[in-house]
Amino acid sequence: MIHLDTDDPIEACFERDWTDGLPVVPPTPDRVERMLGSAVDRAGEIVAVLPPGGGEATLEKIAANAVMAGCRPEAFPVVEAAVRAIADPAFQLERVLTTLHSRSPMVVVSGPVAGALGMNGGFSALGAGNRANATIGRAVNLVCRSIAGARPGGLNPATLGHPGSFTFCLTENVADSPWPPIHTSFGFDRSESVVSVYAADAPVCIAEVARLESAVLLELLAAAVALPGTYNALHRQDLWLVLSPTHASVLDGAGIDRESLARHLHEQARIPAHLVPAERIAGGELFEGTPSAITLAALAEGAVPVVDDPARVRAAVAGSRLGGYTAVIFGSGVTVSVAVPAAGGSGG
Amino acid sequence: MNRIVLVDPVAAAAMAPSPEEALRPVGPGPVALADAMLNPSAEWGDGILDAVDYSIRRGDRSIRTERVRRSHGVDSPGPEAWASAMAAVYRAIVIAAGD
Repeated sequence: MIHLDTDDPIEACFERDWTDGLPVVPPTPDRVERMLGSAVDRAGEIVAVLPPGGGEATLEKIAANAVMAGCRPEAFPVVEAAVRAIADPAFQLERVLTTLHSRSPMVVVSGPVAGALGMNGGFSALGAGNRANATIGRAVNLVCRSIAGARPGGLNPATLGHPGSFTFCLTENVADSPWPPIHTSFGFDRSESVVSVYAADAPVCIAEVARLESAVLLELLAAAVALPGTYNALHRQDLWLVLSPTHASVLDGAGIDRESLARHLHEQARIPAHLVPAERIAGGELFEGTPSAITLAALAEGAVPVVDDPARVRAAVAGSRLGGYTAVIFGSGVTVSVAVPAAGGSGG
Repeated sequence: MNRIVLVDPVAAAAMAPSPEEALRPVGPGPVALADAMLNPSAEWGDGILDAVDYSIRRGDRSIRTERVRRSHGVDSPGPEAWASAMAAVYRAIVIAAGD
């Protein structure tokens, strides 16, 4: 606990360098207790030790950051699950937070909890306006700052950064999606609630509103993901697409599901080899292990595949039915998913 | 002025072993410091290794450190071969890796 003499608790939080640049809700003990809910008796439980700073993410610290972000207590199990996900060694949080590149955790919430929290997967699904979306993503970023220790200019040396380091959290438009919820493609049951995290760059929005034909969309998306200079062009990484229901429905109407879209990108998305640093192609960082037949064939043609394995493509459906758009979200590493305990669960 | 109480959202850093503690079990010999960052010209890895070098020498001035480079070029050995070659010369290697 910290005792302060102040007339303005919000300014006191700024003075202590607790914020992301926006005002935060002061984490008073009663607010933190309400955030913890049934977990209040386990407030000191260490959920994870977060690199690069090595801070201990206790439930109380996570709750304090969720309070500052403006979360409602009902969202706390989702925030806790997201922290468990970014703490998974496979996520490589130390790499995500200490890169010079522009990257921050993208949080994808799927399953019944998204509806229960009133999350928005429709109009402006990647934008502002919904409290649950905004505050869950913000809480995760505040945890990265306060617990993992990644403050800009310190352990976070990002050259440019991007606006997602304020908040980057979305859910799907399940009602208008022709495909099953994305967590089912990660091996979870549709009835489960799941938080997935991905180290994301800023979204790149691709428009095709007139020629709504599957062949046109497939060609366009393959060209769009083959953007030189992204880290997906350099390394084996997951790649996320967020398709609007219109784009997804066009593909689905032609019999193209998530898996066949991924295979298409695997086979067709190519970057001219001269735009990829030669040492990245040959030195092992790009093609760790045995190159696939497609990779070898592409290299022989002077091109480099962006997607080395179809399983690395994650295609979600979000946004409104109005308009034909797909956001390509480049990034790094793998997607990590964690189930959210059902209401009243232990959270452990 | 009002007296308020807030829950500190900032975590104290976990205690990591000091460099000299970490090196003690691995025996005598020089320690290699390798900058394997994606972009070495940014000098981010070099700066990290400067701090590591300082910490090691502050703990035990008899420990000798050497900067080594690992090429990612076409003719560079794979990770296992490189690690094996390094193990034959150095008691430990500290790698600054990242992007």
